[in-house]
Amino acid sequence: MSKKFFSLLILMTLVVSLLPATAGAAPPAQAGGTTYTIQKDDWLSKLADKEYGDPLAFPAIVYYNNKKATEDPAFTLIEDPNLIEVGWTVYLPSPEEANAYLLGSIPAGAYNEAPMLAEMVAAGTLPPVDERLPDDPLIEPVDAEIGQYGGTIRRGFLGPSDHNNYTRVVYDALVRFSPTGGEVVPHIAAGWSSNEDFTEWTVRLRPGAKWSDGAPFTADDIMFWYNDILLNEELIASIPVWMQNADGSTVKVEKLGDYAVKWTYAEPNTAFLLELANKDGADRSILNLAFVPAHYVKQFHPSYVDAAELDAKVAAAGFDTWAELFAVEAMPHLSGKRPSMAAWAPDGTSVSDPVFTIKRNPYYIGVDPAGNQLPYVDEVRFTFFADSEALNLAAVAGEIDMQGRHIKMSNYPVFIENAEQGGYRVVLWPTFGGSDAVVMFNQTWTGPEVEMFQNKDFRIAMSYAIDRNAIRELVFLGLGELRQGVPAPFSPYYPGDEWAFKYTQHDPDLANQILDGVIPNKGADGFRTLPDGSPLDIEIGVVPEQFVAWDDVGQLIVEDWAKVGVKAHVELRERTLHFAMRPANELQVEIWNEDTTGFPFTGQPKFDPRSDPALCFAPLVRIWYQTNGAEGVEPTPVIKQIVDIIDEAKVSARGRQIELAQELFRIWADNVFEIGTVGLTPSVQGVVVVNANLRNVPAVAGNDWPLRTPGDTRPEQFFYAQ
Amino acid sequence: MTVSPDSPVMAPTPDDKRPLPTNGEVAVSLAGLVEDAEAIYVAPNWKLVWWRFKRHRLALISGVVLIAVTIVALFPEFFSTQDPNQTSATKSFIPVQAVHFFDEGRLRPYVYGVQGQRNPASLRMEWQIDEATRIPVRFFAKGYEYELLGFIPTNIHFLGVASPEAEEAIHLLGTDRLGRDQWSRLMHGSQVSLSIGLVAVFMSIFFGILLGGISGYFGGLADLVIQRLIEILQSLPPIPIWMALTAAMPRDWSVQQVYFAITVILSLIGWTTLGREVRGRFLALREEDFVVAAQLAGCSQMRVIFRHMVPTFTSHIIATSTLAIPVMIINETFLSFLGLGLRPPAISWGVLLQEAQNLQSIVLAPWLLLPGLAVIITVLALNILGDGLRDAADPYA
Repeated sequence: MSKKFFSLLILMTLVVSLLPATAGAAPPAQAGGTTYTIQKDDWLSKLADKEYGDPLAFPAIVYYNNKKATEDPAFTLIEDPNLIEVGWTVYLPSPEEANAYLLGSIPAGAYNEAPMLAEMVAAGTLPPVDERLPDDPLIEPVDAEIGQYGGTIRRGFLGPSDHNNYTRVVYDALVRFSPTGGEVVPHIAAGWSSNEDFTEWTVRLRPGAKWSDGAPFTADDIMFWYNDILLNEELIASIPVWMQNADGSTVKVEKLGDYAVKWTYAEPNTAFLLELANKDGADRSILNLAFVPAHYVKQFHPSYVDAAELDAKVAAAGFDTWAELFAVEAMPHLSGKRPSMAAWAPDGTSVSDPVFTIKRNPYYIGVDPAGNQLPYVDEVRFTFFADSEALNLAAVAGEIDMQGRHIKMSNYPVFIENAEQGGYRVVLWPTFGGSDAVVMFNQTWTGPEVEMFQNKDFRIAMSYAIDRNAIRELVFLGLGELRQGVPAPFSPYYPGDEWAFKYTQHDPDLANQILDGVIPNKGADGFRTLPDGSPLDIEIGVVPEQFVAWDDVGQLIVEDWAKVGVKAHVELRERTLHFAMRPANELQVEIWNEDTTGFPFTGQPKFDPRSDPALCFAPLVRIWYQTNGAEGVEPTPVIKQIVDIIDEAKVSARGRQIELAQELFRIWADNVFEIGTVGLTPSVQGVVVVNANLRNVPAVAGNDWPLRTPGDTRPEQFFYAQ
Repeated sequence: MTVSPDSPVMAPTPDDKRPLPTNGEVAVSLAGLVEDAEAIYVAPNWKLVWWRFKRHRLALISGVVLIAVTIVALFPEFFSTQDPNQTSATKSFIPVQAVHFFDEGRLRPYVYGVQGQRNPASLRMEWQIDEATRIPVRFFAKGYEYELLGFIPTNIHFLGVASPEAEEAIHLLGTDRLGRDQWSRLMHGSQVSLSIGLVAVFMSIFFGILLGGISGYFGGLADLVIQRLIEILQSLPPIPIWMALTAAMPRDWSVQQVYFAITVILSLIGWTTLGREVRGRFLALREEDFVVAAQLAGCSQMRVIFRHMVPTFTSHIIATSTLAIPVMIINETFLSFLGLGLRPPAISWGVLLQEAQNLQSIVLAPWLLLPGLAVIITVLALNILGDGLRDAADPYA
C-alpha cells in the first residue's frame, strides 16, 4: 500500500508548485496556440503559469491539447494531467483560448442548487442561486464524480476544547492548501499577485461573494480585521510574527478597491501565501484571523458602539471585558450566530453545546465543475463524547460518517473487522511530517544531565541503542518507516536517504562502544554515572492518551537504553501541565511527534528554537532571542546556524528555499537533537473512518495540521450516493 | 427444699432400667456437650473464636484462598514466569495458553507453541496454536534472576519452561500489546494492590484506635473535637474527595511517592468508622468494674488502655479491618483505573485494568481483563472471611 501511495504522492507533488504567480508574467496575446515540447522539470501548472500567469489554468492546456491530439497524432494525448514526460509534443492554447475555456466552463445562469434551497427560492425567502453566487464562483474540482445533494455527516467531538474539529472541517480561509498539501489554491480569494521581489502581495476578492447571512464580502471585511482587531492593543497585545517586519514594525495592509487588498512588507516574504492559508480562526484564536464579517462584529467593538451599550452586552454574556466577548463573537463556532464564508455555518449552536450542528450556507461561493452549488451534504453534526474511547466505539458501530480525528490507530484492526457491519470503510492518510515519535533532548536543561544532552556522540549512541523495529511492530502495527525527523521522500525538502536513515540502525554494541568513550563510569547498579560520579537517570516526559501511545514508545526506549547502561524513566503527565513545563525549561527529554518538516519556514517549526509551542529543544535559547540576548542562554553555533537558515529562507526565492531546507535537515539529522523513530504512519488523525456511501473522499491526501486535514480534501464535495 | 425419696421426680439410679426420656443420639451429644462445656470453660479466647470460625465453611475456604493470594503477593517473582516489564516486538496479544499436564499418560506438563503473523488487511496479530511444537513446562524451573523478598538472589520460579535459553516462553494469561507476560504482571500487580490495601488498613487502624481511644477514654473537649472531625470527614462524599486529593498530588512524584500517598489518602478517610467504633467501646468499658479495679490498683493509663481495655475488643477490630481491606483494594483499583492512582510503569490490578480499558483490548484481547477476576476473587474472599470473623469474634454470643 505504501509504495503505491508514495509514487502517487511523488507524482502529485511533481506537478504542483508553490511558486506564487507574479502579475504581468503573461506573454502578449497570440491569435492561435503554440506547439511545445516538454522539457526537463516542466509540469503543466508551471507551463500554465508561464503562458497565462495562472498555474491553475492548466486544465485549459489539457483540454485544447487533447482536442488537438485527436485530430493530429503529432500531439501526445495527456491522459493524466499529473503525468507528463520529457519529449512530448503538446499544444499550448493561446491566452484567449485558455481564458475562454476557463470562463466558459460553466455557462452563466446555469447554476444548480440544493432542493432545500430551491424550495426557499420558490417560496421567496431566498434570492435565486445566480444572485447568491459571486460573479466568478470558485470552481472546486471533485475527487471522483459529480455528486448529489443531501444527507448529514456525523462526527464526534470531545467538547469545547476540541474546537479545531470544526476548524478542520470547514477550512474557512482566503486561500487553501490543495488536497496533497503541495500548493496553495484560491478559495474565498479569487487570486493573488506579488511584485518581483515578493514585498507586495495583492489579494483579489470575488465580486458578489456573500457571507452566510447574505451580506456582501468585500475588502472592508479584511480592513476591519487589520484596523480594528490586529491594531487594537486591547485585543492583540503583540502583533503575530507573520504581520511583523524584521524591525518589529507592523506590516502595512491597504484597500485597493472593493475587491482588492494589498499587503506591503519591508522585506521579501515568500511565505505569505502559506501564512494566509492558515488564517482561518484556528485554535479559536483571533491571532489566526485575516478577515471577519465587519457588519456583524462591529456591534461588539467599542469603536462602533456606545460604551454603555457594549458594557450591557458584555455583562449579559457574563464576561468581564469587551475583548473577551469580542474574541467569542469573532468566531462562528464559539458564537453560533456569527456569519461565515464556509460551506456550512453554525445553526445557532456552538462547540459548547452537546450537539453542534453546522448547516448548508446558501451563499457559499463554490460550485462543482458542472455548476452545482456546493456543498452537496446538507449539514455536519458534531456530537459530544466524554472520551475518545467512546467516540471510537461509536465509530465502530457506524455512528460516525467521516472522521480521522480521535480515531486511534491502535484500533485499526477493530475498525477493519467491523467495517462491513458498521457500514463504513477505512482510509489511511499517512502524515508526511517526519517522525511520529521523536525523543527530544533539552539543549538548555539546567541539571547536570545537560552535559550528556549536549554531547553529540551521546545522542548518536542513544539513537543506535533504540530498537525501532520493535516500536514499529508494537506501537505502529508494523506500519511506517524507521527514520529521523526529516521530511518525507516526496517532499522537495527531503535531504536524501543518507540523512533520513542516519543513526537509525539498531546497534547496541556500537552504542556501548561510543558510550564507553563518552560516559565510561558505572555505578554499583551497573548503570552509567556522570563524570562527577553522580547517577544519571534521564526523565522522559510523556503525555499519555494522545494520538500515539507515546507512553509505550517511552517504555520501550527506557528498556533499550538500559541495555546499554543508560538509566531512564518515563514520567507521565497531564497535557496542560506538560505544555506549561516545556517553555518553563522543566523538561529534560520528551517524546512527541515531528510533524512540522513539511513547512519548515512558517508556523512554529519544532526545530526552530524560537518556536512556541514547540518541543523542549532549547527553551532558554528562545528566551535569549526574545530578549535580544539579555536573558536566557546564547545558542551554540549549530543552533545559530539553524536559525540563520530559517531566516534566510523566509526571504528567499523558491529554489533557494529548497536548498536551504535540505541543508537545514542535513544539520538536523546529523546532530540528532531529536531522535526520530518511526515515521510516515497514519497514526496522527490518519486512520479515517468513512461511511460506505460517502463518496469523493480521496484515497490519498496530504495529512497535516497546516493543511487542516480533512479541510484540504474539500469536504464540500463529499456526497452520499443515493 | 428437701426432696422426699419417693418423690416422682427422683433422679434415676444407675440400675434404673427405665429408658431415657429421649433417644440415644441426644444422650451421646449431651455427653459430648458436657465434655465441650468443660473445654469451653477452660479454653482461651482465640480458641473459642477458632472453633466458631471453623463452622463457617465458606469463610474457611476464603481463608485458604487468601493465604494463597498472600503468598503470591509476598513472592510475586517466584510465581512469575517472565520479567513483567520485558517487552517483545514479536509477541503482542498472544492469547491465553493452556498448560497440558499429561503427555501420553505421563505427568509431563507442556504447552503448545504458538505462531503468529500480522494479518495484512486488518494489521491484527493473529496467533495459531502449533501442535507440532510442545514446549515442556517444569515446576521450580530456572528463569530470569531476581531477589526473593528483596535480598535473596535466585532464579528459581514456581513454573517455567524447561529451557528458557531456547527463547521458549509460556504465557499462561497471554500477553499484552507490548508483548509483556500478563500472568507475571498479574502476580506483580497483586503485590502492590494487596499491600496498598493492607498498609492503608493498618494506618486506618492506627488512627482509628489512637483517635477513637483518646476520644472515648478522655471524653470532654478531645471527644468533642475528634467526633466533629469524624463527622466532617464522613459527611464528605468519598469518591470526589479521593479524586481531588489524588489529582492534587504533584504529578512529578515518583511511583513510590504516589504509592505511599495513595495509601495515606485511602486511610485518611478510612479511619473514621473504626474511630467511632473504638470510641463506643471505650465509653462502655471505662465504667466497667474491671477497668475501675485496674485504675484503683494504680495502673498507668497506658496499661489500663492496652492491657485491660483493648484486648476485650481486639477480635472486633480484626473483623472490621478484614472487611475494610477489600474496600481499600477496590478504591486503589478504581483510582488507578480512572488514571488518578498508580500510573505505569507501576503494576497494580488497577493499572492492569486501566491498560485494558480500550476498544482494542476488549474486542481483540479480552484476556487482558482477567485482572478484574483477581479483584473479584480477592474481594469476595476477604468479605466472606470478614463475615466469618465477625460472627466468630464474639464466641459467647
